[in-house]
Amino acid sequence: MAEYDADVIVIGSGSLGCLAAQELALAGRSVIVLEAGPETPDWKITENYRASPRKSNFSAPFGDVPYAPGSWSPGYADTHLDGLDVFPGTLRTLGGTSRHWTAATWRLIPDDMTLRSSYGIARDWPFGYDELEPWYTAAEYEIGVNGVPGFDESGEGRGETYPPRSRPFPTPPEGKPYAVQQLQMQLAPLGYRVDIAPSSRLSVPYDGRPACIGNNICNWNCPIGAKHSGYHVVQKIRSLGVDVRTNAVVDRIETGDRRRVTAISYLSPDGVRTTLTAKAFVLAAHGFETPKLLMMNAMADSSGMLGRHLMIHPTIDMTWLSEKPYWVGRGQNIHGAIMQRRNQPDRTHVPSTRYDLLNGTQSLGFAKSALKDGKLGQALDDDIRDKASRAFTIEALTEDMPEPENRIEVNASFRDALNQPGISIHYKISDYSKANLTRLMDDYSNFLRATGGTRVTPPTTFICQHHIMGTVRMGGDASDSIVDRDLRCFDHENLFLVTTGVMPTAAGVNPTLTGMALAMRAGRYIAGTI
Amino acid sequence: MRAVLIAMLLATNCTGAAMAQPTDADPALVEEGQHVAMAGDCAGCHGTSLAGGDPVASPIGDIYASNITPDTETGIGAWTLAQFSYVLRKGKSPTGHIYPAMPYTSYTGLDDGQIAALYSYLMLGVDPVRNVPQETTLPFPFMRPAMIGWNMLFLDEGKAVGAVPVTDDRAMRGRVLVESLGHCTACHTPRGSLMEPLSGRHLGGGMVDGWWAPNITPGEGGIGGWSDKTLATFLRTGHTERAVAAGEMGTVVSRSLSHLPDDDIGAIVAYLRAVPAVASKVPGASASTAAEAQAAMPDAGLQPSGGWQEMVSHDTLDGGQLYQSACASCHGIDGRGSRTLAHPSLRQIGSVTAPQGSTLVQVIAAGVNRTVNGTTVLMPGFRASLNDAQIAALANHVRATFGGVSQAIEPAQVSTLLKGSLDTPWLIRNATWLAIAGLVIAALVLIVLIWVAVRLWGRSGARHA
Repeated sequence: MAEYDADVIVIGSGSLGCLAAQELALAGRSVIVLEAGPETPDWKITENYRASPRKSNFSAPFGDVPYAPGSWSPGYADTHLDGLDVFPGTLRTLGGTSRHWTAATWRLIPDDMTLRSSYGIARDWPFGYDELEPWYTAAEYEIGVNGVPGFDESGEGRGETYPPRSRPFPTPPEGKPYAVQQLQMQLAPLGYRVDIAPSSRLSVPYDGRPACIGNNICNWNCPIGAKHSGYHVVQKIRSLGVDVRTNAVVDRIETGDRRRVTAISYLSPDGVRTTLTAKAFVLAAHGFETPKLLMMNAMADSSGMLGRHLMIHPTIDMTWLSEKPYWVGRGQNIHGAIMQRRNQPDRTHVPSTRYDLLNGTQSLGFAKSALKDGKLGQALDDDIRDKASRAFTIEALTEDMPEPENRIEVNASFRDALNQPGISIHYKISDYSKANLTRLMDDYSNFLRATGGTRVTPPTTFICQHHIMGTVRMGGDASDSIVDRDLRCFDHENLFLVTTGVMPTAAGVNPTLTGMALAMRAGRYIAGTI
Repeated sequence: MRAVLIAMLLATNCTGAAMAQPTDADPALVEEGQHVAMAGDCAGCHGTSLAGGDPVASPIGDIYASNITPDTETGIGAWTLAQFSYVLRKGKSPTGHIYPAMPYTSYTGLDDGQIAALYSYLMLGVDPVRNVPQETTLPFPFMRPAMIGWNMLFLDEGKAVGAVPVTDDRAMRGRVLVESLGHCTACHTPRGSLMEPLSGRHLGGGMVDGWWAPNITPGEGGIGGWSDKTLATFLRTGHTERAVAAGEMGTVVSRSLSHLPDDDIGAIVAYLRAVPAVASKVPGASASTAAEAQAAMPDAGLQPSGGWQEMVSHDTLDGGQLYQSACASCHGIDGRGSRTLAHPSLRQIGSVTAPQGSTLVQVIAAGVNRTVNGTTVLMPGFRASLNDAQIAALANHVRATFGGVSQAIEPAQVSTLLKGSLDTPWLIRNATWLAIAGLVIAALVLIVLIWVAVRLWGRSGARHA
């Protein structure tokens, strides 16, 4: 009998867990990946989405699985959100939450990783951009990111590629949709630059995935696989011989002498327990579930910081109707973005902010309001067609600070079918995040002026992004951080945490590409230690 | 390019490198030879570097193409023109007999000039690569010397198998491209009990590794109804409203046909019009049902979502439901494809009605991934997310709804097709025990003969004594 069940066991089959597993497998290590949820192929999710009446719910097509609930499953999350309207939706299914991501693939810029030295706030990452750059490139080539050659992501108008990159984007940008062209023309006179956002929605076939043909339901699950999801990496690691097990709900982590994890065990949906051993363990169970699992096992928390410093990108949006149609819905979900507020000198007290030009059709929302107004038949159709063609929504995604009181905890009052607890989310929008509101109102009123638009929903309510950062943060000091620069737990030398939860600061851009780069880097590192 | 090559040769000579240069190779022929190699699709089996490629599936076992780069130790760098010519015409290399998976029964039709050009290109225009491809090991009794007998029966030296006389220059050029270089017959002609091409059904369509290589004669079920333009477009790009090149044909278009000049494509079309018509039957299809299918609008298959079990279970055998969920996002809920037909209309495309659903099943499972002149056409495969029974149900739905084919495919057929093991001739399938039985019988006969001889000798000896 072998000494261990595998060299490495990865808990969580999302993009990040699978990318770490892939690096390990490519380095010749034996790997088991455990996924709490079931395997549901893309075609079935497409069918579920079409048949579902809950069209605005990203998680709905995946079903509320009683032994693997997600954060939006009823009762699972006990929320204390201080007026925040929506909280992050997570999925427990093979392929993870990336099954319903937007596919925005931003890099951090060097200043994003050095807030303490550059602006005197928050903290610096334990390493700089240069160290992450090769892994950003590796991640972009893994998932086929499209982007404009020479793109400056900083919004500073540098006129050259920024941040520096060792290779160009692997795929060319999509054609620029009419709506983005219109907004570029309308906003330019007031000094706003509409940039083209990079995305993993493919403009050309890549790595066995077809080019996008505009089904326009990106977020719920691309029906043809043109948008990257962790499910694609699942197929790849299976062919590398990785043992991928679904319906395996990990609840126990055994630590023997506390310094090392000796075994983990999981329950099947009918309660059968299996225990596995390995040389190293990777917890890649998302920024919520990873700290929850550690808390359930009372480990990794000698710093007292486990689950704290939650950051979720508070976001405030505005929708308007213009005189002429924009015909939104062609092109990737976020095709245009205004980056000029990303890294301004006053970042010492005003947060990094990015304006996303949301490109989803809004038929559903207008149908609801027309029905409320009593419109039916042809009048209803006409109203939806008219408004959906002329509407546009911009959202302001805002950097938040790592605050210890913003946190997740175990929610013991909830019990799922396997008697596992839920989570509590505590989040209060900080004064720092709100400090952009004055400028944001100026910008929004400028957008209305430049487009001649009529406001439909004013920017009054904060929601958040499905971005979870900070909950198992990385740092150089065991007294205030959970993992070190190699994502190794300070408290447990063979336990690595692979999640965007390790990000010590949030910046003002979607964290997934950064998480992928960190995951691949960690996978390579772990392979070298065993 | 030729100048550069000559310069390189001179440079090599000037530095006094010990590398032997093949004396028979002519630098002036290199460019012509490159064209010959392209039209002969050497890269299709020997790989883009020509140092050995993916295995070529045969009913007997996988056959690995050799290294034909000019590396002197692992390639053909030490071969003379005469040795090279002998392989192409007689199927025997300096190291022994080769298997007819290397289509020497077609290449044998090449003239001396073409062979010299190809030789010159391989020796001077290709970078030597040190690589020993995997050894081909076929089960008893298919050892290499067995090919002596096969060649005696089926190799017509100097005449490409199946080639028919044509008169005008264009068709004559096409004959070289189709019958000798292109070796179309290797896949498109069905094979008999000894894996010999059936001469009466030349280019009439055959099963290869679970794929249907269609009838490309003017006969019924063939390409008689295709316009010259459609045929030429297919050969150049692999994509028309009637057919899409997938599998091996995708490789042929990608590595060979798409690089040929328009004149050559025209010549191929001209010759294919002249080959004898062979009718191939499409089981179960009839014009009337096809017409009815054209008019019918399939059920969209939408059902309200049930509980979570229903949402995560994915074992349905409802072909319409599978089509709408897995296929309709590109091919349309009515199967008509996209407006430009970049995503083919399943009501027009020939593979939907191909015999035994083979091509349809293969494409559902493996998808299409073809790069022609830098542009990739890709359909993802569904092998990982649909089981054999679901592929059968989906294929049956597509065939019945869009192709008017009533004959159903069974799940077992799907697994057989995907294993590529269909249509192995009886003699080949049973060759091992037949050969053993033959040897045993021969041994028994020998023993009896010896016994008789000994007895006779004994008698005569006794007489002498």
